[in-house]
Amino acid sequence: MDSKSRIKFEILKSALAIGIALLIVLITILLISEEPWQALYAMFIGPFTSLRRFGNIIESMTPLIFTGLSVTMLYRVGLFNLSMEGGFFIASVAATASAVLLDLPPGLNLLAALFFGALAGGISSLIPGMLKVKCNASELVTSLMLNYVLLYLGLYLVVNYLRDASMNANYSNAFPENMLLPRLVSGTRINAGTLIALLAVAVVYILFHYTALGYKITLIGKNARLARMAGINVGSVIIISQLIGGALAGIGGSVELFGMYKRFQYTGLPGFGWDGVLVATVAQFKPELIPLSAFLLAYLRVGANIMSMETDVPSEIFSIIQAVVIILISAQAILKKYQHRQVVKTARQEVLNNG
Amino acid sequence: MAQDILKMEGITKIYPNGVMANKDVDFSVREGEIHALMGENGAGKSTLMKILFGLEEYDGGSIFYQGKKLDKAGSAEMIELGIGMVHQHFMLVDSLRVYENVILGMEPVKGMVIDSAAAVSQVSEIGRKYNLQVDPMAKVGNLSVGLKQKVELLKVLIRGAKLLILDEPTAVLTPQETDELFEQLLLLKKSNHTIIFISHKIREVMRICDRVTILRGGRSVETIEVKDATEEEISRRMVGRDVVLQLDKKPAEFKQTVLSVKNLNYSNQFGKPMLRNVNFELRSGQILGVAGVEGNGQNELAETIFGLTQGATGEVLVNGTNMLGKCIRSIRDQGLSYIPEDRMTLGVAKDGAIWENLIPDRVDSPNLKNRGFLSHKKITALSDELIEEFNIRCRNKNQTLAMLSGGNMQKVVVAREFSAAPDILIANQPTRGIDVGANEFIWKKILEKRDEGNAVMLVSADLNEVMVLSDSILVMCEGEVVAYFEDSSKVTEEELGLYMLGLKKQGVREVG
Repeated sequence: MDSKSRIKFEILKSALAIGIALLIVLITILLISEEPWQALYAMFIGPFTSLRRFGNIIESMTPLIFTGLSVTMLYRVGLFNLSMEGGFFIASVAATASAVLLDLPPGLNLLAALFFGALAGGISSLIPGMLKVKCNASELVTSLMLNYVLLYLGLYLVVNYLRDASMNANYSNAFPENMLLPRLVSGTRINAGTLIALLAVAVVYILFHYTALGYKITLIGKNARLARMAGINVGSVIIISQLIGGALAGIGGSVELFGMYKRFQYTGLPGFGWDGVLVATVAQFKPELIPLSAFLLAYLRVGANIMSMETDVPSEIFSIIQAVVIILISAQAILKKYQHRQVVKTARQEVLNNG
Repeated sequence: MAQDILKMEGITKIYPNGVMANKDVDFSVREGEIHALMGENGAGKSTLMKILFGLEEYDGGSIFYQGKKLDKAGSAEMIELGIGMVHQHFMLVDSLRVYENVILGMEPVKGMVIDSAAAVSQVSEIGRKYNLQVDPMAKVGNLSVGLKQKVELLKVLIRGAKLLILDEPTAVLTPQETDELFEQLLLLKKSNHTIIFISHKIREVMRICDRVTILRGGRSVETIEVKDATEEEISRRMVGRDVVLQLDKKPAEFKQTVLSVKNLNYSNQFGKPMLRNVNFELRSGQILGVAGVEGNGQNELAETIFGLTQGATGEVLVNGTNMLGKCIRSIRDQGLSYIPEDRMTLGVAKDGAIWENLIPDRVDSPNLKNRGFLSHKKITALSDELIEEFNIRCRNKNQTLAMLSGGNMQKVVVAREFSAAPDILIANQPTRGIDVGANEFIWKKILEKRDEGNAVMLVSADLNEVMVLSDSILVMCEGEVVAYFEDSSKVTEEELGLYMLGLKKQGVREVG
């Protein structure tokens, strides 16, 4: 099997996973809903029925692109670091602190906030990465635990240092007007953050395809021992990749904050990091496919919300899609028989051709 | 004439990576004979036997045993039927005793516990019967390779096997141990056991086998009576052409010392000393062969010199600078390059494309870049050049490495390490598990390196390879250098065998 038919096979697998997930959703809706056809219409056609709704897709796609890129970066080196969830959150706290506490001139204040967001996100992912490299501690375990540390640290900082005393909730003081990202399409909340996200896609794509660092990251993910034997400093490449991966989630957290909100309002982990795992998995960890997969996910989520507003089907149905897609794509054994049949066919063909 | 005990017809096997390992193979064995299965590495011998033993599924053909057709079954059923297999790599638990290994899975019990006394006496009895003398109470980890192989044979015989499959049983044995094994096999033949003997060493096959089936490129070529055949005939059928087993080797010209190892000591992660006070020198223009029974420190020596181990003491002087404990990058920058023992773990990334596997050591070099960014044009040019020069058979540089044959994968490793233009090449088992064509090619490349005035340290478990290629030979036993021969042509395989086994040892002065 050459690389072409391999790609064909991978795409088939992704499509099949999404197809099966949608089929399960369809059956569920038919079973539980008293108005199944309206529900399906609301879910699948609903997102395209008005500009505002289409705008919703683009808005929710933006943070998903960042966390999808973040997961791609963290994962390509061969680590299962899940700190992008906490990183996204703590970055928005850091960006809030920068916006509220530092009195910087316009333009510079936004840059500073994005920088501190990226830094906070980067450090969040760096910690499990460091522990892995230096102490061989499982990054999966440390990053999951770290997410709670980051959540409560962030809430503590907001409540004690950033809270707006006049509000009846744990919201921060309002950001300066001039820091909010400009809206691009009137009647929607589509903002400049989407452009920053697409820029990030381009940067990560270039990193993987045209830099020595990107090559090393991918090689370590494929065989770290070969990389070491070839003279690559495996530990430092892993650490840099985790730093960049976390920083991407951090920029995502800050961009989401200034694109969609006027003040910090989270009371728990927003979940964009977890969604990033799904986005990156569907995109097969290829940066160039991340926008497409983020769009698909955002579309389904907006559709599920519309459905829950207009019909009797709750939006949690979306979680089913998420779970089924992840399970099916990560299941190695699926389509194995089919793949082997293809392999046998090609091999026989080749023997015939070569005599 | 004896009956066919086993018949395999039209066996076809395709691995998930698309390699067709067996193509319509016919193979039959008569009761009570020693039947050799020969072929180059990668000819499909091991695959065919794994299919017979139920370890691999097959995609076509049928198997008859004692006249009955076998359905696709696992190895448990095969053992039940009286088929036993001794694998090339021993399947033993090092931390258990001999008798515990032998009875594993069929333990005699007394109530709830294993009846050790009965087990020990069972094992000794079988050992006496077949003249396989091993102490049942010894820890397997402490046994020599030859004894471990006896344990494997015991394992098979105690389960009542009538048909024994031996997968390259002599690959890890010294000449003396091989002789002993052959006596035992002839004894087994007398007691009406049937033996399938997999090998690519023609001389051994001529010595003890009755018939030989030759595989080439996954197909069965022919089955012939050994007594009617000559060595040349068999080797021609194996390779499909006349092979020149002798290399055209120019006399060596030793120049200045480039690598000098002094008092090197190293213990592995379990605290077992693997290198004891190793001293030697390597000069440019010299191929220094390191011989020894596997596991006697040769691999650790190569890895320690290349910076792959930690905690070694002593000195590794490269052109006078001590490189012990330095990072691999700086060792490579000193002009060393390395062909690792196991290409799958250390040598290649099998999910990567060929080009990805050709550049890892030089990805930071400006030769592959254009204004700081990787230039795919330059990478393509380099890859195409190496694929051409090293005769890597593939569709193109983008093909995934896992799709290549073992020989071509090894050529990728060789292409990378040779094109790094090393002054000192450390080749650790450079031709293990590859076909004769690739083997010959790699030998020639190593000789070329030497003739260009570079130094080569060749570690190999294949005594023939050491004898043919090396200018000088160093023998290791239990982590020590036990012998050094400045001129390899002045020593015989048998003599090397004595040193490898630790039966002979040179004095300090001779070892130098």
